[in-house]
Amino acid sequence: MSREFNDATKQELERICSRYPKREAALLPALRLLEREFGCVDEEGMVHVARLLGVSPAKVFGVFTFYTHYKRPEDRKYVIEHCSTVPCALRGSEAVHDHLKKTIQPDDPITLKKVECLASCDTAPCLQVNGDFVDYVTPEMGDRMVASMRAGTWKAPTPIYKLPATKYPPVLLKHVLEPGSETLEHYQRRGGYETWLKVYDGKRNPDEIIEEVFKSGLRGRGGAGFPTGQKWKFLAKNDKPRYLVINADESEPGTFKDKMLIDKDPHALIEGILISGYAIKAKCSYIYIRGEFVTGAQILQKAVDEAEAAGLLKGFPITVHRGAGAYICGEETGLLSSLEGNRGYPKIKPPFPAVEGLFRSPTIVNNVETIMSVVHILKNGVEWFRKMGTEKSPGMKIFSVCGHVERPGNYEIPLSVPLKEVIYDLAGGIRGGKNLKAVIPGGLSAPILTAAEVLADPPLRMDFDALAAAKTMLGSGGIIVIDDETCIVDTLWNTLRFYHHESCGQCTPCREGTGWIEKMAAKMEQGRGRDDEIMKIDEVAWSMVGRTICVLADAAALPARSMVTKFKAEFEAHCAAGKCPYKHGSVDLTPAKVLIHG
Amino acid sequence: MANIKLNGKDIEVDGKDKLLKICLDQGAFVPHYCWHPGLQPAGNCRMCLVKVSNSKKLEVSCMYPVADKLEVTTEGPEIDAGRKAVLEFLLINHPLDCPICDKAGECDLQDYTYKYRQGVSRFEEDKNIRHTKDLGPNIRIWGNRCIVCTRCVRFCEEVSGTGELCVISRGDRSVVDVFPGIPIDNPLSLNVVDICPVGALIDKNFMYAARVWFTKRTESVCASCSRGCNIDFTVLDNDIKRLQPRPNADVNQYWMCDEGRLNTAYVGSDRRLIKATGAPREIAEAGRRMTLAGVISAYSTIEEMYLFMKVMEALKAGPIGVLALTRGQQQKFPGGFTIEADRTPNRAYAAKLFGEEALVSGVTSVVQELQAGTVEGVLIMNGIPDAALPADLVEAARKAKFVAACDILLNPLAEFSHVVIPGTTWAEKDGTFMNVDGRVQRIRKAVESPVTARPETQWLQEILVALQARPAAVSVEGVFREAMPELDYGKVGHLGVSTNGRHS
Repeated sequence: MSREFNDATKQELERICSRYPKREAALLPALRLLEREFGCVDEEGMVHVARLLGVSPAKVFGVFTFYTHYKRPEDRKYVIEHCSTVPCALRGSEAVHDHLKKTIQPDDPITLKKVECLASCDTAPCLQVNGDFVDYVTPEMGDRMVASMRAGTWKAPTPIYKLPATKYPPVLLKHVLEPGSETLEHYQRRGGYETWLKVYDGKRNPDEIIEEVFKSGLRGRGGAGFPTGQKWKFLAKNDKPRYLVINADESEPGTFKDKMLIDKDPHALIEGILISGYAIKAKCSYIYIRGEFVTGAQILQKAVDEAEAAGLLKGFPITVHRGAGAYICGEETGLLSSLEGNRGYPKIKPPFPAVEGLFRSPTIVNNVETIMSVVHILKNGVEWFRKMGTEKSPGMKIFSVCGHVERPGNYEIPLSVPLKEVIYDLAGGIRGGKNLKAVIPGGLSAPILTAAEVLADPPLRMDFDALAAAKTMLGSGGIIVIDDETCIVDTLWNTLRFYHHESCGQCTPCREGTGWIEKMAAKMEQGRGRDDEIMKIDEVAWSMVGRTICVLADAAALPARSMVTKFKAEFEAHCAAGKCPYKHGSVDLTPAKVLIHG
Repeated sequence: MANIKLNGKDIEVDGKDKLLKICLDQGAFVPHYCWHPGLQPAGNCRMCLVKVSNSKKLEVSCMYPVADKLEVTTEGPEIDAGRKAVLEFLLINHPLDCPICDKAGECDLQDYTYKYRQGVSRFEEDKNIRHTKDLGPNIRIWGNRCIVCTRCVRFCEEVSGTGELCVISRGDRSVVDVFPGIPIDNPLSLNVVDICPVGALIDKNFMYAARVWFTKRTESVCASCSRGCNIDFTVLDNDIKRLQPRPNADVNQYWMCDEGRLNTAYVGSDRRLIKATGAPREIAEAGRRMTLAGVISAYSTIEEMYLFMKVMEALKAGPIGVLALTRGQQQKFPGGFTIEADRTPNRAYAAKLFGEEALVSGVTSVVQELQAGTVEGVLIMNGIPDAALPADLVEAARKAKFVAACDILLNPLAEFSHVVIPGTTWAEKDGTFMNVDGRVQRIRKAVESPVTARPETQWLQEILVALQARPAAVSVEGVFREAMPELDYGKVGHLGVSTNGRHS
């Protein structure tokens, strides 16, 4: 049957198109409209959208098949998307998945999908049902879930937000647990938008704001750690319109800070956007939010609408643009390609986005936390910001601690707190009284640290330069803690499954390399590897580095190299035994003994 | 303009060009797959890595901007290591299909691998499997061979403007595909097979037809319309296996259309006119006895038309009509490539030599005069393979006292003509055409004609010699120099020469 939008939807599509300089940029939103109106994206729907946007059906097909989050015709009434990446696996997700797989019958109205990190690692094992988060899932919960779905009575649980209290007073996370914190009324009651209005009504000099942010030394909080003020200063000075793009595509496994900020304090983000957009003289702003944050996007849109209705945007358009399931769209130029209505292919740099970015115009892409920090820098001053942290890594940072700690959660602390303090003093140490084996300190893309490195004296500190000196990175600040009952070979396999799945496939070394090293890691974990193949993983990983369009290749290769070299003995043991010594036979659901396995 | 150093040599370059183009123009060897001079660059294959003085790592030259005082190196151990690594990655999932792959012998993956890698792979895992299927009526893809360079996708977006191709999926599952049910079927589709660096995209018309290292290449131009796209013949055992475009910025950029590319069957067809009757000399004798009219076609070469005119002049014969063939409208594609409505290769010269009238109403005049009896005989030289002779011309000729007919394919005239001379196709002779822009371009003999008669330029001169209109026959080039005194074959060269400054 041929698909055609009803008139209201057609008008909505036109309104969406009008927010972009090119119609094709509405392609991802248009596919969401197909989902909403027809329940899925199918071939006829794609042809219809192609015609409406003036692109070829093949173009739509290529874009649709790149992303994982659109509903397909074969998806059933309840789609359970179950996270399988390292942080959830460390907390027993595989046992839950296996149980669900056994429980769900072929004629159940349920589609079970294994997906990558959903940015809720502190509530692991987690999953989504039709876009709603379900936290701390156990096999028993799985049984109840399936039963209710069979009966048609499934209701999404109320989302759980926890914020472990520490001696460090939170800044961005200060109000996230207060009821109504996401409303305009609550935000304004606590001084929200005052900083923005001071800037706007006071007609503050935009360049002065840029200088202030530059002097603060604020570095990007999304992963790259590039000095924000410096990036803003790189903007090309020409007649082209400028764009401010907010990277809300939080997909770095082990990271779950932006989710909380968006869900619980969206107006703080909006105020940051207004100030930053003003400073860089942007024409408008796009918030690219990952597709899996279904509720988050709704909360954000509601907040934007509230702020607009209250006259706070001052004519500055803010558009919430949903992604559709692709880690690579967290890379700034992959994000821009996706925003333009394409497959999330990172762009060749140079030119850098500040010179030529979105729609070939000067563009600033900044992370949610970075932009929200700008508000506080302007409100409290550069001195206040620089009192925290170090000279090169000033300010506060939210660290998402997950894995084998007693208290997984978001910890907002000054930069340069020792890593062992974060793990043992703030997060309660290794759960169940076990011993530390390893830590991945900056999201899954960061090279792994041994327990010895973490527990060393003088201590390893959580700031950009200290971690770089330790040949790893601060990255997104996702701290994944691993105990000594965990198989590192299996951790490597899970890690490389992630990058293999998420590689966009554009350039040769990453497209082929991520697949190759995953296959070798799989072989190792399954006991089919040979001793002489262990360092092959290291060599192949090394040959991926420095030759690609973006650093996803590095993000796969450098962790791989670090795991293979620092834990070589484990790989050797696997080869010698012909199997994984940490053994997964039948599933043992005792949390302490649940191990990661494929 | 910018001053840079390339492999130690100082050169001045256009600041707008990217490094790869500069390196290639300067003759420096830089292997590459995804870059193509006729398409926007993509930078994804990573093969064109070079060392630049303003970056710590190797950079892809295809998209790297020129800067004043930049130093570029295209050779050396670090670069070799980079190229080796990229090749290793390309080869791990690439099937060892060479023995059954049509691209073998003209494959950049084979060639660069030969240059940079050893014969052993250290990949021991299972290879990926991707689809093998027809993408369109003329094109089949072996997905396992695809290196996702996106040249074909970019071609359909930028040059043909039809957008039928896309890359699907992600990572090492990526492969080129079409929308389900919408095959690649545009007038320029087979160009994607030419530009595929490996044997992923295959021309179904050339599939398994020949091993290219046994074949002979000959430069020529296409004769299927008045654009005169520059081409190469691929010939094996005197059989035309395929045509491919040759680059010419002033004519066809890098492309040719499918119709012209595939229009070769008539050359080896069993409908060829082979049997001769009588001798060309009889035309001279008839011409002395009676008034002859003349009909030639716009498929004939400059040399043939010139000699035909000379014969008509020597015999004081006339009128002259020129057969042409127009079909549809001129088709201009977004990338600038054009297919002309005029489906013969030499109409421009015919108009110049015989006058536009001869093209528009010449044949009608011939028919009328034959019917009226004011002209008693006719020499008809047709070459257009796809057009039947006009019925009224055949009927009028039937009643004439003398008919001489020359054609490529069997036609009704052959049954009753007094002299029948088998004609040669454009693939079987040397000569020149003038394209729609007034550009003179060479054709070169690529195959031996199945007919044993001599080519048109020979027997037309034989008539002139018999009429004592010239002392002796000269070579084809000799005829050309008479027809176009300002030029010779050397000036025409491999890319032709404009006679009026116009180009596409």
